[in-house]
Amino acid sequence: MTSSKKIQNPKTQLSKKSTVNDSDLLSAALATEKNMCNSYAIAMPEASNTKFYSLLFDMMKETSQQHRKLYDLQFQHGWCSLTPAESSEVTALHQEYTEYKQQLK
Amino acid sequence: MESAQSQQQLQQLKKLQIQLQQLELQIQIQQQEQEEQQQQQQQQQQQQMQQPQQPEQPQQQQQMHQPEQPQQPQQQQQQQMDQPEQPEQPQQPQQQQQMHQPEQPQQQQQMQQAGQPQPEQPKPEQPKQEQQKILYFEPPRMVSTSDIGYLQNMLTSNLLAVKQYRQATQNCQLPDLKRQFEEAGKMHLTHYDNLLTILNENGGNV
Repeated sequence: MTSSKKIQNPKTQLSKKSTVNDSDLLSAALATEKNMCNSYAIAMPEASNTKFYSLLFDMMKETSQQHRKLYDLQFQHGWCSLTPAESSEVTALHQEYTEYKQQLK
Repeated sequence: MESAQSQQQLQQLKKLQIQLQQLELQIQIQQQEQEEQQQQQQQQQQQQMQQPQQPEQPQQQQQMHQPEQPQQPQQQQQQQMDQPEQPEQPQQPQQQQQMHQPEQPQQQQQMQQAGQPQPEQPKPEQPKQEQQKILYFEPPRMVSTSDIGYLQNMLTSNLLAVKQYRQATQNCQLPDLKRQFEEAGKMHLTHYDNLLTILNENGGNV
């Protein structure tokens, strides 16, 4: 089945001399962006005035977009991989929660 | 020019809306005050009932008016029978007077009410002005104590991120990574400046 295969680009080869290579730098950058998104999200609901809130919101949006760009780079260079779920699992979950939706009617 | 005029009109509309909301709130507050006063009057009534007074009015009249007080328990009504009205007493509440002396003109009652020493209702106009100063419909531009903590946290993390991206730009070999790191570093620098301006423009005039 195709679902057992990983979705991954061919890895970009890096020099093995340096202790910190480009992949590590990218991982660190991703962690930084993620942490900052989280701290913005925590600060936003407690912001005092609307201007401060909207500024935080805009900065969080930009930070998250930056994170996405870095993540795309990581994927392009083949330094991260994704595994698709089994199609039977997906359909089972869909059926289960379609039944649960009957409770809302 | 037209856009500026329309903006002015919009601002005027907003101001009018805010004034309307303020008026509505004032009405609500007045109603709440009246309810509180009624409650206080009832409490005073109950307290007065526990203190014996000179009975001047006939018992019959009080009994006639008792069914008009459905909220009060029987015990209090009996106490009331023992302690009837004295219209000259300044501490008596308006509600009690209305019940027991329906033949009195309203104007006199109002005069008595005005003469009553009520600490909760000193003057009708002063509390309104104070409330107008306190009422906000949106938090003003300020830096609150909780904001300060978050600002400091985000300033430090942005500063750290800028430093991190500068070093990453120097150390990395791939050109696309270098470009992206530069962009991210610039973005965090602008964010740092944004946070600094918030502290700068609102720090002095809180």
